[in-house]
Amino acid sequence: MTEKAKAWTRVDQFEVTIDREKCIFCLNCFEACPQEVYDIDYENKKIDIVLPKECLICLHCEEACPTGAIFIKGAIRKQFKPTPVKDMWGWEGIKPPE
Amino acid sequence: MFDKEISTDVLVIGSGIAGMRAAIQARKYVPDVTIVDKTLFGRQTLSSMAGGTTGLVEGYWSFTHPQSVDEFTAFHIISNAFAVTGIREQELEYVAAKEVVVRQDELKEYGVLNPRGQKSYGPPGRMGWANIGPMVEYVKNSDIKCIEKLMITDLIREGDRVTGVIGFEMDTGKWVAINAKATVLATGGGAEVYKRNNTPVRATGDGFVMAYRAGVQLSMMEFILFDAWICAEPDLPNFWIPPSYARTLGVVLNKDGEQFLKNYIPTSTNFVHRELPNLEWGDDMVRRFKGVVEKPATLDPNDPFHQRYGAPVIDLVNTISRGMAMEVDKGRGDPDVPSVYLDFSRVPEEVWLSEPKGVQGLHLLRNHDWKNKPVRMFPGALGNFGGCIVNKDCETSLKGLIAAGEVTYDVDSLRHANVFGVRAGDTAGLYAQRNELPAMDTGKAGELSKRWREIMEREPSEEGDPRKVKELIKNLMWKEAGVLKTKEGLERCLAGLDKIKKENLTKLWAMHPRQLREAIEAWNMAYVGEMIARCSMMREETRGTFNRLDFPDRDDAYWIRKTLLRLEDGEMKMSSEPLEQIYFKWKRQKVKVKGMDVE
Repeated sequence: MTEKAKAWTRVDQFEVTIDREKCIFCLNCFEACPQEVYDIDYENKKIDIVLPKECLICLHCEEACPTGAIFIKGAIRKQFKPTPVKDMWGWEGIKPPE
Repeated sequence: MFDKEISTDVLVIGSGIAGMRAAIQARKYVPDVTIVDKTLFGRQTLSSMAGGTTGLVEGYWSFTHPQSVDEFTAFHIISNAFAVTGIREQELEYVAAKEVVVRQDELKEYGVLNPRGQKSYGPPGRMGWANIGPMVEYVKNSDIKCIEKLMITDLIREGDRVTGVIGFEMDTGKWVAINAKATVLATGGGAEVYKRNNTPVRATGDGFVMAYRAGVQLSMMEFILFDAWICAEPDLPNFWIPPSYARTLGVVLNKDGEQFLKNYIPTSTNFVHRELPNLEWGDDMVRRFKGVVEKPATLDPNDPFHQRYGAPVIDLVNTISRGMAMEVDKGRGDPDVPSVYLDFSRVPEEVWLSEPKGVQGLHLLRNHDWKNKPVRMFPGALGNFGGCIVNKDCETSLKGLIAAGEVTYDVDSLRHANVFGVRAGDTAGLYAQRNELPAMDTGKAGELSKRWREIMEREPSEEGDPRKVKELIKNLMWKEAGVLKTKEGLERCLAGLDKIKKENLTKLWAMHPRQLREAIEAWNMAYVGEMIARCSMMREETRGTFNRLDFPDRDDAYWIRKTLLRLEDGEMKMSSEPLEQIYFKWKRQKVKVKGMDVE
């Protein structure tokens, strides 16, 4: 395996993090998450990360957070631009395995 | 009774592609358009989860890349793509075929880059965000009134006219009554009723149940789209392994290392050609369509799956789901988790490496040693094919209630949501122009809200915990009314739902508005589950995505019909009626479904 491949397939250390000082308890992350990664602790007025393994790294929570308290470490954060079909499917020189 | 009363010309409920397009379109007719969502706009929608408007992408239907409206119509009525063969509402399909390209190109006006030339990109959960995201921005920056975090609980009806809705605010818990000239229901589907699903958590089918309670007739609820490619690794989320080059190069195996799909995929020709002998061809039909559908299929040289099985993967999703479920049923699946294997070991490294260029979804699998260990996968629910009955102008049987998107019957993709969202906007706008604001009886509406207000007053109990009730329903539905259905299983499912209704729904409690939302969702899920189970009991055949182990044949003689349900005297009244076959007629015969008799 090449070094580049190793880098890509290495165990990915992504992690959902909340900066408690910035959090204003607006619950937008809870609202935005499609997987119920977050839960609300009403008593202590704080947001909990209850199902971190369900995270899709979709970054909805990060975007919805108005104060930037949420940060997903290790996420691919480059702009997901639409790619023309041809670029993606115009594979040449790679034969499908039998 | 209500803390806030709002009146508006057109009210749109839901903020997926259908809702957004309806709101934008209605604004062209009337000045005052309001769009509401029970959570943040666009975030909890299938439009943002699923691969954007993939259904419209040029070349996506690579084997019959539709060149004309007729070809498009023929393909979508005959083929097996997405959900069903043969029982699509043909008039709606024709409309969709006619308008789809225009509607797709219009997305550019709302800031969507290159809507024709894109495929799925981005991680699972936001593959469609490039479409829905710019539209959310567009709507928020327009003079359409946007209300986020407002849960609509009931439609208010006077006679046969819908006069508005009631709901409550998520942050304050205040109850709101909205009086509208026209109401557009675009609340999406309810695939969340299944334990294994690839939908956002808020897709609980509220719209189905609201419409059902208001007396709208629903149809075809038994058809659920079970997407085959859902990851079943216990330490990974149930995410959709996106249609990438690595996936098509991957091989699907059972525990004996057999490529079992060949036992289920009918022939190495495309579905349209396979269905030709099952159709009745009148003279006019031959003139119009025969040339179109007999056009030789072109195999995509770049798609190994297409090369191997003779049809692109999108057309085989139901077949693959059925195959996987059958293998697991026969004990040839993974011993630990009910699943089969997707083996990536023969995928060249350079393919895997170049995935992030276009298809980013596989990055979740980076944690997985894909070179040495196959990925376990099993079907999961993706959406509902059935829903409220609408005509081609999206009108329901109630005046002033217009529906579009997944909440309606025969709408199973963003292609439809795009076309019928606009149509719903047109209809709602015109209706609001021509009609006065109806009087809304807030006293009566208050009575309706009492049932929900009581939930907030109840004492917490184990049986009434909204999350737990939801889990109960999801597990029950997945176990008894999942991919493969039997009469006994469905009976157990109905009995279980009945028990949940009696023992759990009556004890639902909530301390906070967000918990109340979950309680109402649990309530709605129980009813969506019942709709699915009852309709499944009726349909005694196997067709497309619907598999009955006790009725393994496709019955074109009788079951070119739609199942119907409506609320009558407090009961779910079931019936069925033949489907109108305007363009394509099926021969009255039974057709064998390959793989249903595999031992």
